[in-house]
Amino acid sequence: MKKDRRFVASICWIVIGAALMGVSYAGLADEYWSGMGTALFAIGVIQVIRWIRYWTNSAYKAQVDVEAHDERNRFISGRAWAWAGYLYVLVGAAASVVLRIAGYNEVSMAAGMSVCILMVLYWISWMVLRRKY
Amino acid sequence: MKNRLEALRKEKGIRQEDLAQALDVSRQTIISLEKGKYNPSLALAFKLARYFALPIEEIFDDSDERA
Repeated sequence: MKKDRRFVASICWIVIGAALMGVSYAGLADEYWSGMGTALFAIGVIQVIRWIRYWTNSAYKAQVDVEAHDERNRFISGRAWAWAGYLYVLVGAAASVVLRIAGYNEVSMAAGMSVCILMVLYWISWMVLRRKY
Repeated sequence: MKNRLEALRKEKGIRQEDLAQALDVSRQTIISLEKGKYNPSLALAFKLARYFALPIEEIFDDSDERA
């Protein structure tokens, strides 16, 4: 059921991507939307190919199922997200200071704000998880 | 945490693939467990204990953690 929904989502990415590309080629939107449409279309196609392989190749299906539920993979995924968050805060904060010194005040502000948003999200997540566990 | 997984597995003559399949984990997880690079969840530790029909203490050695 969950997999069916994910397959439908993949089809949706293709449709939305194609629509964005079409609108862009018709001159109704700029290249930003064209780029986003191309990316969504490509992601959708790749996912559909993977789903077809999943449903038609039993060995691949078994491998994917084990990999998806493997506790070490989940542990690594959690650690990778944590590292990505730490690195984003460090790089974002440093970039904010460097850009401010270099005179790119607006970009510096955006970098600083994005770090603040991440910190707020971390705090909210911590509060929610503290109640859960 | 140290463990006797590799020795126990070899005693039973089981391949890493077979142990992984029996425990519903990847072979890489078994490799990491045997090398002591990854500590299993409580659920997986119990599965291992049941698989080898041994108490958890006879598979895992937490003396390093207690020191």
